[in-house]
Amino acid sequence: MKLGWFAAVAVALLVSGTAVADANKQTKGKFDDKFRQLEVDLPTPNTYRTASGAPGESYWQQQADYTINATLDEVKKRITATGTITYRNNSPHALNYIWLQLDQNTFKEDSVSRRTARAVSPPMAAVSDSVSMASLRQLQAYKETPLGFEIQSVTDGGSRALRYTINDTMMRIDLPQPLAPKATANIKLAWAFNIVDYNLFGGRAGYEQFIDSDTYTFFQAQWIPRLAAYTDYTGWQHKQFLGQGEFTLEFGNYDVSITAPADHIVPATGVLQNPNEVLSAEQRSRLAQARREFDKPMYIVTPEEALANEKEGTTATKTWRWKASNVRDFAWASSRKFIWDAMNVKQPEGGDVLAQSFFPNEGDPLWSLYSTRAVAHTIDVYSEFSFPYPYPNAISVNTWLGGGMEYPMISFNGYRPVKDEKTGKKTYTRQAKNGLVGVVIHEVGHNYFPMIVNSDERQWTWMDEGLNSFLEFMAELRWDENFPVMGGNSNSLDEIGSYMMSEDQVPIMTNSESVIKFGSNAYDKPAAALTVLRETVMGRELFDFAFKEYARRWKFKRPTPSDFFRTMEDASGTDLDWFWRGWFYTTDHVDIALNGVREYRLSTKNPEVEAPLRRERQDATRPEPVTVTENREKGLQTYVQKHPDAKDFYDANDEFVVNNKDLNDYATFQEGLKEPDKSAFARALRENPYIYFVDFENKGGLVSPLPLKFTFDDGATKEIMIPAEIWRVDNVKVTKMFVETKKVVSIELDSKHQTADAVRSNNAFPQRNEPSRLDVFRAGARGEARNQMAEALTELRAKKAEPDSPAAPITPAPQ
Amino acid sequence: MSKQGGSITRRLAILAGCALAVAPPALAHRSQTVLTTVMWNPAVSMLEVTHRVHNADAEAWLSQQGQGGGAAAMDITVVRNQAQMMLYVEAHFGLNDGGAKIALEPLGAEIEGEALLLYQQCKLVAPPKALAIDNRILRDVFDGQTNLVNVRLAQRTRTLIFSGSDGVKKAEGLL
Repeated sequence: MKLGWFAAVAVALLVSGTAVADANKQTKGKFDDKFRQLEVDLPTPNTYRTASGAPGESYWQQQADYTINATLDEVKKRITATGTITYRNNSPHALNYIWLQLDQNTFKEDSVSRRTARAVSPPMAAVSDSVSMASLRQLQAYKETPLGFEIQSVTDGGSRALRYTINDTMMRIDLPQPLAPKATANIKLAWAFNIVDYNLFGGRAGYEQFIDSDTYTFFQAQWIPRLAAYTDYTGWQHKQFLGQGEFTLEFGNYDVSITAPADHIVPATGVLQNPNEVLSAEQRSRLAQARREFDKPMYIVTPEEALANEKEGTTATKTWRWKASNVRDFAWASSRKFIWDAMNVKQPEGGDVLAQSFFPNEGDPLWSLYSTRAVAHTIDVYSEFSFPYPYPNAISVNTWLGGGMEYPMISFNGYRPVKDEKTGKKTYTRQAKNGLVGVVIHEVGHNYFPMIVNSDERQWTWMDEGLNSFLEFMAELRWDENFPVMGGNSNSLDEIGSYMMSEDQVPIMTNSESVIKFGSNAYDKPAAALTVLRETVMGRELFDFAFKEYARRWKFKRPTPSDFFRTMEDASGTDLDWFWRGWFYTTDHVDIALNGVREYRLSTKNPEVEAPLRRERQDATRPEPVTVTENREKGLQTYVQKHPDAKDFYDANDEFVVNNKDLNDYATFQEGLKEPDKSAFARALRENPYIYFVDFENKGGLVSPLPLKFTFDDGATKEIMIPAEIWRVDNVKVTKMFVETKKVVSIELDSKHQTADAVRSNNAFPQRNEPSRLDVFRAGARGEARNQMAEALTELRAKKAEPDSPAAPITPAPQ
Repeated sequence: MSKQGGSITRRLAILAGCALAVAPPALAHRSQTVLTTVMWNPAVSMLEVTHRVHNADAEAWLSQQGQGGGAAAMDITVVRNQAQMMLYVEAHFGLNDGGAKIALEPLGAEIEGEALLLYQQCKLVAPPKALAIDNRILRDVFDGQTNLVNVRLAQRTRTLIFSGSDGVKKAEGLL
């Protein structure tokens, strides 16, 4: 399958949807109204979701409470569990059946996810086939260990078996009688599954083996058969888990008991109920002390204690009991390797939060220094943009080398120092530090979106990843002003243009499973869009109020895209339909060209004044022909110079001489001027302004505000912002007039790089040559560095030719 | 997301109808990515290639080279280490212009923020209309490595993605 086809389908569906819904059609010409209202394309407001973007008076959502007893078998790498789900039907509908999500089933051999895995990633076709070693290892591992949920029993509250049907990653349970509105159903389940080896299968949970020490960390998520969401906008959530679109979940209360090896430390979603049974007196004392630490974290389990602990091992077990209120999921980790540190975060509004990190010695010294501090910083900044963090704990667990994954109160995060293979010494660089700080902010930040503002991840990735990436960037720049938030750059708007110019992309409002270039589409582009919205389109005061209003309206509720779009408009008093349409529903990019500038002065109409000026302008624009100059310099005389008697009136007066007709016309003009034009003209003559006509062209398709910087001949500068609405009746070309008291020597569009303009070479008058990155490098003061590089390359080439990757042993099969 | 291992790429082999790549699902935070930009510079008739490698990924790669030397051996700001990375990139990235390999020469490298930028170039008479591209950078290091190549030789920008078992791919209609 080619990407072009794939992308085209997504766009075509979008366009056709628009055409059906929108009565407006441009049936003559090609005008595309980029400001046409979005209301015709958004869902009709109703009593569940209002036209203002707020929850309606009849808003409802279901509730699913869980009581679970689970056991981790460390040797067999297996979870066995029993649980009771108490499901309250808050909808106005009677339900004949309920659906559960069995996300572990995505690892089953016959899952839709595995059967539809592509050999070649889109876009564009491969010209050669290949197999990676990782794929081979994974395919072999699939055969060795059965994966996915093993559902052992499904019964009602009275232990009567219930009929159920499994459809890939979902399970329908048929109820003996319909579950009436406001009624509650109890479902008892027993299940087990083999934990996936993260190094082989990837995913969002599993276990990690540390080969050198033969030790493990376990990190469990998607481990419960969870209630699928039943909503006012889609009924039962019915999109299977294919690996990319994450989760659509219900809020509920959890009471979870986890039995693990007795020397394990078990962090989890929620509040520990039995610290006296699972923690030592020393650990409990340190924990109490950590609750009084607000400046820096302190150890509950020290690195030395963790290192000693991981070398021992035990066959005894302990049971950790956790309770969590009003969460949409439950995750946990378990290992005898964990170092544990914590510090308290005092919120201006809301209760204290214990920021904590759990990590193996392999994560130090990096993790001791920065993980828990980054957790605390996240709560500070995100709460400022939204609402106080409502849970008592916020946890970061080191579970892998890179990346991260979010759950309520707990997140699994990567980045570790590197170890020199010869010296064994661990060290980390600024880049690794930034990586850790960034991933912790991102994953802990997900507590706000989508763990509390509970958007539907399976359908719209951008609603949590995009909003969260935006806040992540804000928090990172509050950590360090030079923090490289995107692609090594502290300004995301300088980076997003290369993605947005590509033909191989889909609109943000594409279903999660159909998104190509996932990170750019669902994380970076919406984050850049919100940055433009805040810093350039709306301004901070309007944006921050509206964004906070959205967060608070939908806290512990389930918003959809239209709820976000509508709230941002409703709370700011700003029509942003053009912005949502362009940034979220199309693949246009920002490229505004400043095509031309024409300078004028006001004409007095007085021929005595204007004629000399016209002569001056002509002289300035028409230099004397070289022939004439050369003739003169060689002493050649013209005919009339040699024959003065041949001169007449025309030789004494050029075409600009003022005649009586000119004077009469001027008198007529003055007599014809009536008030108020007469006074206005007189005042304008006194002020004698410079008048500029500036031409702009929208080459990228996305309409944009025009931030302009004028530089005057005295060196002074002036900045103005032209709102995007200037494009409303012609979104391709527009001319704007500026009246200035001083002569303008240059005009620059988007001088602060605040619009995501992807092509900067057409942003200035006079036009500036924008050198390529390599031009800059070639011309830069880096000659010494280049020489050093050349010398190093010569030395390394001589030392050892770089071998190619291991040969690929696939060959055409015999016919 | 990350571990050691070898990747395989077979030269123009044909294997019909079999889904070989089972890429790990993406995490909620982005996985390792190298962003490569291929551009045409008409002023100097040069095909210009920029690879943007996350410094932490480059350093993880360096740490696996077993050179010893402590932190300095893994510090990607050290020019010698950048040169080593350049040699690796030369062996794991290639352009082919309708049958002929484009001989990219290394221009240099520099750090920009959190990324290592590696520059290659090749003098050509005219920009190619199509390119066959092989990109295996760091895919033998990180299983989840996903590389993006943006090709912009004239007005159009085309993007290729390399992940899983992807081999050589072709970008057409570039001019």
